[in-house]
Amino acid sequence: MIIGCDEMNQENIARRKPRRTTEIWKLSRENNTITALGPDGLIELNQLGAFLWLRFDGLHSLSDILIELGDLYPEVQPAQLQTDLSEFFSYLRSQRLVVSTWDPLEGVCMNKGRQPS
Amino acid sequence: MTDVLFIQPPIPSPSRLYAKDHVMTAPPIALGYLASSIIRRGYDADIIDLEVQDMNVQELREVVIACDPGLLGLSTTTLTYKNALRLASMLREAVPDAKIVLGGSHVTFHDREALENEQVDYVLRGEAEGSIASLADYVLQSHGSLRDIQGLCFRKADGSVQRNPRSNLLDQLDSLPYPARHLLPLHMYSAPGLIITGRGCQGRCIFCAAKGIAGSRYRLRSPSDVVEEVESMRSAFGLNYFYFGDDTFTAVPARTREICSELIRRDLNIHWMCETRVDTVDKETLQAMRDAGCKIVQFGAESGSQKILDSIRKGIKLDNLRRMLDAALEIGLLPTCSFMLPHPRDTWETLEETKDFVSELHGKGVRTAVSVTTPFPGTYLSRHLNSLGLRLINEDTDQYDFSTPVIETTNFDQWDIREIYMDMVLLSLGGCPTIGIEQKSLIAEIE
Repeated sequence: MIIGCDEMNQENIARRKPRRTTEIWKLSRENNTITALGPDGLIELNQLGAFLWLRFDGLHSLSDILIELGDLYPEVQPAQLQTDLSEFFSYLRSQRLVVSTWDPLEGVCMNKGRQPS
Repeated sequence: MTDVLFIQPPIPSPSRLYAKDHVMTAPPIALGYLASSIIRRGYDADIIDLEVQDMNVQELREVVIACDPGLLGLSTTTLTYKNALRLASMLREAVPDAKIVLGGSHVTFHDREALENEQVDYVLRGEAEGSIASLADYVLQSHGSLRDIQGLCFRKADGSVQRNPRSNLLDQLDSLPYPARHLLPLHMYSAPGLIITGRGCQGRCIFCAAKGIAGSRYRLRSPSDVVEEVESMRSAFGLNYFYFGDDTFTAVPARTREICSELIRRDLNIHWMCETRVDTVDKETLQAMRDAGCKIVQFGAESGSQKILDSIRKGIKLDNLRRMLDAALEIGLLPTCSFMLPHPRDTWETLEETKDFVSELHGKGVRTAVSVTTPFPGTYLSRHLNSLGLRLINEDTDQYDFSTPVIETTNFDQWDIREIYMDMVLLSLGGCPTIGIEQKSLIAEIE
C-alpha cells in the first residue's frame, strides 16, 4: 500500500503529487546521488532515492512515478516497487523533506498546528 | 462591512512550512501605508496577511464575505504573483461586487499581463498611497475618473488597456500617515518593529529593482518624524526591537547620525538592526548607531571577487567592505553580509574567491547569507538576459524563491548552480547541518 492508507483511499493517494519542502540540494553527476538540506539537517540519497527526489516536484503523481519505476526496474514485482516507494516516501515525510500533496494557496493557508499531510 | 480590504498573499513554496520557524518575518509595511491612506480619506480598511495568519482558504472566503469589501487590494511580489491571481479568482466568486486591484513590485512591471486575467480589475504601479485613496473614491463613491488616477491601469470598455502615467514619487514622506499597524497581527512576526525611514536607491546593481520601483533619488524622512514613529510604536505596541528596513538606512550618514542622536536624547532604550551599503557608511556613523542601540548591520556584499562586483555594478570595493566590517566588529556591532550567486560573469575561480571571502568573514565573526541570482522584473538582469549570456530555464514564478535556479549562465548550468548554492549555504551555516541561524535567530540572540 502507498503510504500506509487503506484501500478506499488508494486511488486518491495514487493521484497525489508529492512535493519536496526544500530547494537546497545538489545532484552528484558522478554517481547520481543527491544531498539535501532539510529542516532537520543533511540527508544523502542513493541513485534510486535521487530518481524519486527529482520527481517529488509537485508535478508527478505517485502513480506516474510508480509506472516510471516499473519501466526502470522491469525485473522487480510491481507490488515490491510500490512497497519500496511507500517506505521511501514515508521516510522522507518523517524527515519533513516532502509533503504528499501541495497546493500553493491552500497548502500555505493551512491552520497552524496542523501537520502537513 | 469594510470599505477596503488588503490581502497579503502567501508564498507558494512548501519551504515556508519550516522556514518560517527560522527566517525573519516582518509585517507587510506597504499594505500598512496603503491602509492608513485609505483611513485618512475617511474609509474603513483592514488587512489580512496570509503569510502568517491562521486561516485556510475556506475560512478566508468566509471572512471576506463577512467583510463585504467594496475594494480588494492584493499585494504582489514576483514569488506571490500567481497566488495573488489564485486569490483574486476565489475572491471574485466570493464577493462578485467587489473590485480587485493588484499592486506591488511584480505588477509594477507586468501590469498589462496582470490585466489579461479577468478577475483583476485594476493594477496600480509604483508607489500608490495617493492613488489608492482616489481609486477608493471612484469605486466606493463613484467620484472622479479612472483616467485621472496616477499609475492606474485598467481595461477600457473596448477591452484595450488604459495605462495612466505613474505618479510622481512622493518627496515629502513626513506627510504620510504612519502605517496602520493596528490592523496587523504584530505578535505573529519575528521582526514586528519594521519601519521605513526613506525610499529610493542610488545603486545601479544589475540584479536589483529598487531603482525602478522607488526611483534613483533618496527621499528621506526627517529624523524627528522617524523617531516619533519609533516612540509611537513603542508606546502603542510595546515594541523594543526595531528593524529599519530601508534599502540603505545610511543613505546620508549625517542624517543617520541625527536619528541616532534623537533616539538617545529621548532615552528610548531600544535595540535595532538595519541594512546599509559600505559606500554610504563610515566608522563615526557606525559608532553613533551602536550608541543608539543598533545591534546588527547588514551589508550587501554579493561576491568576494572585485572583478565580479564591478561587472554587476555594485559600486563597492572589497577592501572598503573589509574595513567597515572590521570597524563594525570593533565597535561591538554584529555585521552580516548577504551574497548572491552565480553572477553572469562568475567562473569557478571567482566563486572560489567568494568562498574564501566568506570563510575569512566567518573567521572574524561576521555572519553570512546566500541566495540564488534571479532575474526579477524591473532589473537590468531581466532586460538583458541574452547579452549577459543568461538563459531562462524556468518561467514559473511560483519558484522564484531565491533557492531555485531559474537561469543558467555561460559558465554554469542548473546542476552546477544547485551545487554551488548548497555548498555556500553550508559554508554560511558554518558547516552546521541545520537550517536556523538566519536573522530570526540573530534577533533572539541579542534580545
